[in-house]
Amino acid sequence: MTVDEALQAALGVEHQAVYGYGLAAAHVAGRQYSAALTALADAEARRDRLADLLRRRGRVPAAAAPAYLPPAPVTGATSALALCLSLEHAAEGAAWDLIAASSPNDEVRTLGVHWLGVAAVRAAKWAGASASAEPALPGRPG
Amino acid sequence: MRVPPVTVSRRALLLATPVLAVAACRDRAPSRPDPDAAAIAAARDTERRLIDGYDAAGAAGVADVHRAHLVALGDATPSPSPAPAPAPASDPQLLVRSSVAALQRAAIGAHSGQVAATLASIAASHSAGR
Repeated sequence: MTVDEALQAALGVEHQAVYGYGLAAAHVAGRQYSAALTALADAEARRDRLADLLRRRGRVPAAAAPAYLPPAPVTGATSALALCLSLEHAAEGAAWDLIAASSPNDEVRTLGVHWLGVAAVRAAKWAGASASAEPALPGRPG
Repeated sequence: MRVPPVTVSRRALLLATPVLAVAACRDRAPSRPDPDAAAIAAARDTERRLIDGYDAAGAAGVADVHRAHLVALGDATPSPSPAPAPAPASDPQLLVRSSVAALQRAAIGAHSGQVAATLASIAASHSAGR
């Protein structure tokens, strides 16, 4: 995977996260609602940064789809939290790929390393009581 | 309107490491020191201390997470610890938290993308408190 391919894939994951967190936020309340909105804002900021990185590399950032179909119907708080967890798992994978494709000490590498950390922390929070079952190596393929 | 899936289809790559395969096929290649060796050794040392610390605290499940980290760092036989063993962490949770920044720095500077991703993933796991 080239850096450009990893950046486009990461951008696609963040397009999904922006849509998915908006959907999930409509089904949760209280601290979970606040956490979903924070994650949504982070995903928007990262989406914009990824798009900017692609433009600076002479690439055209992929546009978001009009809508996305979640992996399971979101009908309440439980399914919304499951969606949030799946969004962070996708982020972990995209961040791993970004790191693996990037060069030492460059901006893409730094972005990927910090993104992976944020996604793992957020995944553990969404997993709640199941956090101990989260993978030992977040984002690793296979 | 076509509605694409939210998930989460990730890449189907990286399981194979073609760079390593190419290197293995090279004849009479001059052996050069691995530029990531020091970072890997430091990360292994931390993981061994965590394993011993969590084992001593009776937290076998958490120790197993760090055994997985050690295996990912290329130590195929993380238990029992090879001699001489590093001193176990007296407060493993403190060591988990304090190791994050160094692991992230090592990941950012790593020459190999795979090593970088592994170090960053371990840092992420530690960031999540594991």
